[in-house]
Amino acid sequence: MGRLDAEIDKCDNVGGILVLHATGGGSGSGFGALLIESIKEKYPEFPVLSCAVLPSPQVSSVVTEPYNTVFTLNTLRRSADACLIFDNEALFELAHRKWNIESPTVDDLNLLITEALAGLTASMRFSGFLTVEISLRELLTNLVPQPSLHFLMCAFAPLTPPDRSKFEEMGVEDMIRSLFDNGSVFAACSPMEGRFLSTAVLYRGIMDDKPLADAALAAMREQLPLTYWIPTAFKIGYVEQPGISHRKSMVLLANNTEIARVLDRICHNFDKLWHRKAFANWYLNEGMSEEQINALRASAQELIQSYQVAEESGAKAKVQDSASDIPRASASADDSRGSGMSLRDLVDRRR
Amino acid sequence: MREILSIHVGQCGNQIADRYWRLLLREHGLTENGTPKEGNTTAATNANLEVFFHKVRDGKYIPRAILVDLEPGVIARIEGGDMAQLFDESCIIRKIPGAANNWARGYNVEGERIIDQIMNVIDAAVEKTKSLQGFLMTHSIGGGSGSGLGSLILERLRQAYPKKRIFTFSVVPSPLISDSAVEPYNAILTLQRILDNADAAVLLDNEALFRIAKSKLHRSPNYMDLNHIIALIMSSVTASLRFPGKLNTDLSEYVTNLVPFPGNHFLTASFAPMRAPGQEGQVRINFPDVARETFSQDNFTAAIDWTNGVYLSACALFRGDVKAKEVEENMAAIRKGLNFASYVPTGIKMGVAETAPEGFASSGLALVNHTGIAAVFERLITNFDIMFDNHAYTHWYENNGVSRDMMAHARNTIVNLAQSYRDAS
Repeated sequence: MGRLDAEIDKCDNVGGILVLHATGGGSGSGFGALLIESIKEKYPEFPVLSCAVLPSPQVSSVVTEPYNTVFTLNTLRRSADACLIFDNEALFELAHRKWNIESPTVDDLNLLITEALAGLTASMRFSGFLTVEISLRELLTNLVPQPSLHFLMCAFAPLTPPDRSKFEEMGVEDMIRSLFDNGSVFAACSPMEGRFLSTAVLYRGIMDDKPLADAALAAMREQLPLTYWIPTAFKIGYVEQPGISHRKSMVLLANNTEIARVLDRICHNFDKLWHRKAFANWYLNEGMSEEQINALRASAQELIQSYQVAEESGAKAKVQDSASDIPRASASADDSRGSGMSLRDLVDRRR
Repeated sequence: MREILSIHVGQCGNQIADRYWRLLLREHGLTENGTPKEGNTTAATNANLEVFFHKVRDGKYIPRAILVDLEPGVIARIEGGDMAQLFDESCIIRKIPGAANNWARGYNVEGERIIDQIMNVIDAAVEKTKSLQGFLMTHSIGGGSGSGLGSLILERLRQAYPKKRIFTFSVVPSPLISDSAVEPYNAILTLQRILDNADAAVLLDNEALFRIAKSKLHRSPNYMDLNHIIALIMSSVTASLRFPGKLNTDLSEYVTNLVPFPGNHFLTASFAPMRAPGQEGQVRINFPDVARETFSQDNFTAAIDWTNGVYLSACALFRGDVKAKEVEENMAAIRKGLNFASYVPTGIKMGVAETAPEGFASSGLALVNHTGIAAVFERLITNFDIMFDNHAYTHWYENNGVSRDMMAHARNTIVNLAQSYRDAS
């Protein structure tokens, strides 16, 4: 914290704090959680974006990963302003399938993460005539519809192998298609089957193709399973400067209800271990009680539920939507109030 | 001289400023530095130039403009561009770190920090005038800076200068060209402030602008094209204040003629002939066509419900080579074709200014008060309700000092406003 204070002193204006950590290991999860809590306590003004790497058995080095992750999720839920999920399971698959790497190493996965992060922060780092500068705050305002629904996923295009990017170039339309493809999101789930609560697409270096990209994106937007009660959450950013490895690239940030599936996977593994109390003694000996652990698990479950409720409420309205294309103001308000109640209950209960 | 002070707030407001002042400079034969071009004698003789420009000793004209933004980008571009020498440095206020698309940040958090400085700059600019007639503000009501900070400036302006006229040119968000999820919230909160504090507001709907630009440009328009249309409209609205003309020499006169009931001061505008930049002069069209295009429904810049509404009032301003007799004959015919409220027996208020916009032989502008504008409010309220009832995004506002009650209050105010328009038909 001392180092952090010193760094903050050097800044004119802190736009936010990024915390990059894993949730499976010990330092990233335990200490990362403590750090986020302390930052939030000391600087409640600054938005904190946690970039959390979720564990996967395929790249696993630690048996107790499910425990660590579930415990960390609790902190991320309460203290971070938003959490960008990098799911190792999905990253491994991507590196394997798209980059044709037989057995991807951690370095390969990290390269994927850096590509996405570089694209995400480009609009904060560059300015230019056609660049739309988007601050972290602005991004979060658009992506987080409710305090608890702040677990984001991202995707990057083009996923051409780094060594071939000079020779192969993807058209913008293909890039957009691949961006929203179930197989290219950095979390092991299928966003097209869930519901998009909010979306942001950040272009880099494709100014000459901008009209084309805009049109393709507008068409894509029509097909997306959007949430009925968030009509306009679609942010687009442009940055003139291209990235290092790709002349043209784009990043998708989405708040999608399918994230529940990723979290559910982790919780499922947690349950398997916890059912037998396997490896639990390491935590119990370090000062955690069984009730505490059960409470943390319940908190993770609530998070999953809040996403499921959001998915259902969005879907419910979809049925009504098709009944009448333009919902009447009064009717739609009533309906959404009905579905909104359950959401509200959930929010209240958590408080 | 009856000076007018322009205040440009936020990213959108300053982008409009860029197009608008460029246009004014050209119309008055000034260079990008504000000095008269060689052989330009009109600048020296046109006393009305002082309305929008402040003349300094070396013959240079400085716009009476104040540029405010919470993000540095757009203003930095103006400062770094060819108009770098034009604006008074002290009148440019930019602060980081931005309002983050959040009305509450622009109004409360960042606004509080900066408003006193802005008001000082405005006071100083007012002191340079002999007899100020009012303020023009350009902003968007969907973003954070233009909406939140713009609202705060409107409130303070009204407090500090209760007798002066305040005109806003407000860009309304549209679902098609959406920049942010929280636009409906920002827009409703801002509309409430415009309702309470401005004398008239010209609503400019991005969607309508987009449609107009697309049909005339034959290509996909960008924001620059949309802003150019806004600049043309603004320059025509202010033309009679800047050039010798016959009618509408005063902001108060616009207000008197256009606002039949207090509060119903939301206007929409139309400019004709709309041509792609560079092609304005190529097609020479006769006056009846200009007049017809000016009052054609697809040419208006807001998505108005034309079928279920009536005209409350209208102003028409023609520029350039136009004969008064022609105007009277044609407008009488057009007036008959328009669906005016039964209790408004009068005609269309007309004005003629001698100088056409650059590149045009003649042009027409309509400013109208139509009850169908309620549709614009109703569309925003529908989106507002859907999100508000589901508690979507409201925590960003609550965290920054705007309670749900305040939001609900603003919403009800605008519902009443829409209803008052519906009742007026």
